[in-house]
Formats: sequence, structure tokens, C-alpha cells
Amino acid sequence: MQEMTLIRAERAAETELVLDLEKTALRREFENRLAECGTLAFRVARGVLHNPADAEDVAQEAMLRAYRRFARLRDPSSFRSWLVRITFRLALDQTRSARRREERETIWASQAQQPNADDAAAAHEFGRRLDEAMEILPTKLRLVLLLSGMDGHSLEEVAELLQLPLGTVKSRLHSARKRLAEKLR
Amino acid sequence: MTCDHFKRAMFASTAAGQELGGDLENHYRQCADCWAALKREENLWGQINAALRRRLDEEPTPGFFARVRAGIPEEGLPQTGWNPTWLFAAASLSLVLIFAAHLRTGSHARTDEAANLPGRTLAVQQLSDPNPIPSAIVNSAIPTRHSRQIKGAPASRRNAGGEPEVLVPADEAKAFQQFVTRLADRHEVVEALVNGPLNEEDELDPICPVEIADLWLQPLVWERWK
Repeated sequence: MQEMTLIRAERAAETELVLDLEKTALRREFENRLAECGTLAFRVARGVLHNPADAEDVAQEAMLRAYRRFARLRDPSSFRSWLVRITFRLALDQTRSARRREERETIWASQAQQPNADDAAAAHEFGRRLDEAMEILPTKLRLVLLLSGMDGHSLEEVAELLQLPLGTVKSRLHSARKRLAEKLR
Repeated sequence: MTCDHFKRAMFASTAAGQELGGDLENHYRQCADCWAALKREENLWGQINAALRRRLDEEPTPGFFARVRAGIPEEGLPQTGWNPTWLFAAASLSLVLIFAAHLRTGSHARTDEAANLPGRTLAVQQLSDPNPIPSAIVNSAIPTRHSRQIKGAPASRRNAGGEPEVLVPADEAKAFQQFVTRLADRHEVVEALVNGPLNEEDELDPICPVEIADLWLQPLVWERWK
């Protein structure tokens, strides 16, 4: 009887050890993925949000959500694709919040008064108009524009990230750029 | 082609990030107005690309990754696709569906059972048969049951004509139909059943008794009415 109890205890300990090892491996895998895709998440959020701090908050939230679903997102390409989409959506949600918008505009207004140089003022003015023009773009066009504008992203990579045909990405990008130029011309 | 056409073609080319070529380039070299428009467009795209690049090539602050790592819960494993609430809801729903399916199957099985009971198929012998009584029943080992409502089935249904339809087991319905058919052929039996003999001196017509299942029909004896 004592032997049986000992065997059961050993088996329970072994099971616990295996679970711990799995947990550690999973966490390590996620941290690798975080190192690979964290910047991408931040940049997607930054493309939508004017404030870098807000973009970091959104990217962090997106990464934590990704961790909670990591068991289903272990395939790297699905992970990147999912992360881009969820970050973009979270960033849009944040933009739509009226309170947050007011805070951001206050920050932007205070930042705008700091530089004295005409070039900086002009660049800021152009940046503001660009933000306005981008905000009225349909979201699917906007996401393609942001991803293709990021350094090192070819159209093929954007298509892979969004799991869309290359032709669709090209037409969306063209449409987005045309609308943007019409608004800013 | 007018300058407007060239400008539109130029806007489309620059938006697509393509270089001007052929006729378009020749025109822009000759037309000062279009040349100025092209330069403005190139300048605009230069500004757009620079603004986008400035923003999109930004790096997160050094503390960003540490903050994300710190936010990862230490204990909880990532979900395996089912959270407990959803798991409970799914289990409850499954149980309800299984129970409903069981009830449904059970009522069908009972109906089928009632329809297929051995000996429930009646074959009424022709009443003109000279020896009708014992052989009228093919199988009378199982007693006839009266119409009853099947458990789990609705008490009554409306048929196509809107009349209430009493649900009876298939064998009993068939037997009753046969009984009515036989009676329709034998008016004297009906009269005897309904009226009885008018006076005790009258002699009853010889009537062959009818038996359907365990239902035994025979001419009434006048003394029993008194």
C-alpha cells in the first residue's frame, strides 16, 4: 500500500514537472515571438495613433491578448497576421474614443507651440493634414497603406501579413494613395 | 489630349509609384504648366512618404519590451482555446440537446413499436365465412388496447381540414377503420346495436357475429335491456 502511494506521488510529481516544462517552453517561445513582432505591433499602432505612448499601450495590450491566445497562434505567420489585425483594431478603437482624442490633441497642441523654426512648423502642419486625410480613409485601405509604408515591407509581405491576394493589396494601395493625394493636394 | 488628361494620367502614375514614360514625359518637357504640376505632385508625394516613414519607422522606447514581459501573467498558462465559462456553457447546451434528442428518439421508437407489435395486424375474415368466429382473428395472443395518448406526443393535432385529429396507435386506427367498413355493409347489425328488437316477440334476423381483435359483436338479447 505504501509503495502504491509512493508511486502515485512520483507520477503526480512527474506530471507537474512536465506541465512546468511545457509552460516554460511556451513562455520562452512567446518571448521570442515578442522580440520578433513587438516592434511591428508598435509601428502599426503608431501609424494610427499620434502619440507614441498611446501606441506603446495599444501594442502592449495586443501582445498580452496574443499571449492569452498563444496556444492557437503558435504558427509564426498566423501570429504576425493576427497581431497586426488586433493591434490595428485596438488602435482604431482608441482613436475613436472621444476622451482620448481630446487628450492627444492637447498634447499635440502643446508640442506644436515648442518648435520655432518655420520648417518644423510646416512639417507639423503637413503631419496634421496627413493625419486627417488618413483618418477618413476606409480602414482596409489604411492598413495596407501603413504596412506598405513601413521600412522593409514589400507588397508580397503585406499580402502575406493580411492573408490577401497580391492583386487586392496592390489595388487597395493604389486607391489609398490616390485618395490621400486628392485630400492633400 | 489636353493638359487635363495628361495631369490625370500623371496623378495616377505618381500615386502608383510609377515613372512617367512615352508621350506623357514628352508633354511634360514641353508644357510649363504641366511641368509645374508634376513637380508639385512629386513634392507632395515626397512629403507624404517622409511623414509616413518618420512615423512608421519609429522604434518603441527601451522599456517597452520589459513592460510587456512584466505584463505576462506568471502563473496562468495561455488559453487552449476554451475558457471555463464557454466550456460550461457548451457542456450545458450539449446536455440539453442530448436530452431533447433522447426524448424525440424515444417517442419515435414507441410509435414504431406500437405500429410493429406482433399480432397487432388484424385480418378480419369475410363475414360471409361459414365459420367466422374463432378464425376471424389472426393473432389474438396480445390483448387489444384502447386508444391512448402516446407519451411525449401531442394530445391532438389539427389535420389539413382543420378538424382535430385524435392520435391513436396505427394498429388501432386500422382496426377501427375495418370495423366501420364492416358495419356499413351490415345495416342490420347497426340497427340491432342501436335500437334493439322492437318487441320481444319479434324474431331477430340471424346475424353473424363479428369479432375484430378482442371486440366481440353479437346481436343484443332483449332480456338484457329490460
